[in-house]
This record gives sequence, C-alpha cells and structure tokens, in this order.
Amino acid sequence: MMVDKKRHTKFLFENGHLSDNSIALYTEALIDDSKFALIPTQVLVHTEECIECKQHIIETYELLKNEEFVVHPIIHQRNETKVFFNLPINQNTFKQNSRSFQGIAIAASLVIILALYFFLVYQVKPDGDKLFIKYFEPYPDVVTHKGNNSNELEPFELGLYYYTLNNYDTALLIFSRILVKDSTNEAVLFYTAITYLELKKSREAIRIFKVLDNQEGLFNQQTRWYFSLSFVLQNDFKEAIPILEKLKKENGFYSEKARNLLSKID
Amino acid sequence: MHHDPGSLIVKYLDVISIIIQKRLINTGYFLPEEKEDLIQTVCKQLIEKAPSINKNYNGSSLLITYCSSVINNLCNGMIRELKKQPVAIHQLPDYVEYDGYIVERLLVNETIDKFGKIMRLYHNKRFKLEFCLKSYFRVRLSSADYEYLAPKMQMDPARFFEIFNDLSENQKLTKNEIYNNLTIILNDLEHVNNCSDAIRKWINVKIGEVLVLLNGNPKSSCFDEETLQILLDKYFSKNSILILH
Repeated sequence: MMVDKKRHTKFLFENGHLSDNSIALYTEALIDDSKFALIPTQVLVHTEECIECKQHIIETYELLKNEEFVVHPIIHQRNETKVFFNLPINQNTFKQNSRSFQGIAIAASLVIILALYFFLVYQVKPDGDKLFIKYFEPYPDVVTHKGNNSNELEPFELGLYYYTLNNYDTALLIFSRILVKDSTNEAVLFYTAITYLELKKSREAIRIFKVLDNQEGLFNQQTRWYFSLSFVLQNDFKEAIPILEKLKKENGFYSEKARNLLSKID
Repeated sequence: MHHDPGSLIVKYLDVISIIIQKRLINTGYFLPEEKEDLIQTVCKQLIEKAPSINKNYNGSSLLITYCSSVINNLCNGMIRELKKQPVAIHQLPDYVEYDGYIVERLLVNETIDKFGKIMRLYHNKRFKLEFCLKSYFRVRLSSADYEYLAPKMQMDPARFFEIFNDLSENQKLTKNEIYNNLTIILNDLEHVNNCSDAIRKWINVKIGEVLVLLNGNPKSSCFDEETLQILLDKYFSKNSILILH
C-alpha cells in the first residue's frame, strides 16, 4: 500500500501542467464524487488557477461521462493495470498480510458457495441491461427519401443523417431543436426517444413514449416495443410486461419478439 | 504493456474509436470515412508512446481513463497539425448553433451538468466565483449563500444583511454598485483590502474563462455573456442549495 501511495503522488505534473495521471483522476472525480478525496491538494490548487488544465479535464470528462467503461468500470480493470505495467508490490506487506488473505479467501469461498446455492435454488432475476443489449436495435430511418437529389437536407432529415451515422449527440441536438418549434411532431418525437435509448437515457425516452403511446399514430407498435425496452433497461419489468402482453396479442411484427422477451422476464 | 503494448491497444480499440468519433469526427475536423485511418494513426502513436505511458502512469486512476487522456492529447495534436477549419458537411448547421434556443429544453440538462462540473474545478474559489456570478448577472442569491457568509462576517450583521439584500433583490443596482458591494463582502470574508476595480477585473477574467470552458475547443457552443446569464438562471434555480467545500 505504501508503495502505491508513493507512486500515486508521483508524476502529478508535466511541463508545468497537470500530467495525464492528474487529468484522469480529476475526470474520474467529476464522474464519481467520492473520488474527489483522492485528488492531491497541489493538483486542486493548480487546477483552480490554470485554464488550460481545466479545459483538458472538461474535454476528457465530456468524452467519457456517458461511457460505461468509466462510469461502471469492471472490477478486473485494476488488476489488468498491474498485469500490463508490472506495478511494484511491497513483498513485506504481502507476507505480513498473507494470513489475513487466507482468512479473506476462506470467507470469500463461503460467500461464493452460498451465492451459488441461492442461485440454484431460486431463479436469478433477469438482468435488464443485458436483455436490453440483446433486444435493442435502433429503428431504421424510414423517413428520408433515398431518391432525394437535393443538396439541401430538411432539418429532420439532417437529424436522421446523424442518427444513421450513430452520432446520437448531434442527432439529439437537431431533433430537440425541431421539437422546440413543433413539439407534437410524432416522427421526431419517436426518433428522439430512440436516440435517448441509444444514449441509455431511459427516463427521458419513457417520458416521450408515454406521450406517443397515448395517441394513435404511425409508430404505434414500434412505440410499444421500444417503450417496453425502456422499462427493461431500467430493470422495471413490472411496467414492461403489460406493454409486451399487448404487443403479443396484436399479432404484428413485434409479437414474436415480445413473446420471446416475455419468456425471459415473466 | 512494455512486453506487449499491442494487446492493450487491441483491448482498448473501442475506446480509441469512441474518442476519435467524438473528438475528431463529431467536431467536424475529419470525415467519417477517415475514421479507420485515424484509428490506425492513433494506435501507431500509442505503441510509440508505450514506454513513456508505462513509466509515467501512477495507478491513481483507472488505466482506461489515463489512456483516454493520452488519446485525447493525440487527437488535439492532430487537430493542431492540420491547422484547418472543420469540414463543412460536419459542421453543425446554422440552426443548431445559438440563436436564442440553445439553452432550451433537452440541451439544458447537458449544459447545466457541464457548467456544474466547471464550477467544481474552481475548488476553494467556487463559492466566491458563484457568488460573484450571481451578483453580476443579477441572479437572486440564496439563503444558503447567506447562511454560508453570515457567520464568517466580521462587520455589523445589520450592515451585512443590508448589503446582501441589496445585491440579491435590488435590480436597479449599477455595475459599479455591484462591484462596491461585492468588494465590501469579499474583503471582509478574505481579510484583504482590495479595491472594487480588482474585483471587477477578477470577475471579467473568470467570466471569460467560464465562457471558454463552456464553448469548448474546438468551439462547439456559442455562449456569450447574455446566454451565460440564461444558463446561470437555470443552473441556480436547479441547484438552489450550493454544495460548499
């Protein structure tokens, strides 16, 4: 631990500015407040005054803020760090702690055995995130006329252009700008909600799907399908089930998918 | 990594791709069809940088975040080398840029979040900056501001209340009167003896900084003082209780 601590205070600055270590740590603190306590004071003080470093941190934050690999990092990333970099491990500390490690190992094994027992006895709750990834596909652009030779794209077409390029941030920007002027445009609302789903913002998507689900329109079945997926993403299967049941009975394009998904969560 | 830098790069290929998409393509500096080449270039540079990454990484953050910062630097270098403007087709269309609506509706939460994070970077100066911005842009001060300041003031409480109330409620204050009131409070708070011109300069510098940070580099928004005021209104109405450190 001592070695790590010492190492953590190394390489904080580079050429009079924050190093990538400090930028990365500050970025993680902006994403996860609890990490603020880990930022060395000299880094906080330097950042307070340095506009370039602030800019660098905000840039990195903007790049990573919605990315799962930083927001919910998998546990083995820390280990992988050691594997790749051969970070020094204090051998004495390791020896001193080996007994307590054994104890922890025994306790951990017991926990794993118990967890396995409960896993086998009771059905494990379905994982909304995984189901969402399995079933969600962005709805294709069925609005843009492919034969349109005009160089000038309509605003909605431009939004869809970015949408099909998987550039969802820009697509959302354009859709929302259209909705400011025409908040009832069904197609724009529909693609906005799908875009939100792409960005894993299920709450915003649900708000829009609720509006669309209460009106008869062009995207009724599609709305129901993605509406149910929004709840799945939130692990709120109670809300998803009645929508999927309805879809199943409609015998439409999504009936089979709904039946399939129901079998996983019901 | 020094044994096999390639394996880590392969593992982080998705991250490299995401950063290139956001930093170089979405900003309009490169075309989507150039993405594969850009990934190759960045990977090559990362392999070259592997020894220095290995030497400098101190383990205080996730390796993936550290590498993201390195990749972002590489992307910035590529932008600087090009010395060119974003290509037209990927520049945001005119109607997306600010014309009175940018802080409207769905964008507002993203921008408020960004502004909040910018404020966090001011750490110990955060209260001072937020207090000055509120006063300068005539955003109503909150009871949390009062509760934070009142116990720290050495001046007569009635006098402090009068000045605080004036800053918060009196919409007819001139800019000079605002600077004067702020100077009295901040001098008392920081135990200094600055003139009101010093606080005027400080506020102007900080507003400039906040605008640069909000607009990004390359510029992705067009905030100016007028739109910053709208943002502040929304930000402080959403965060009526300040998080103080």
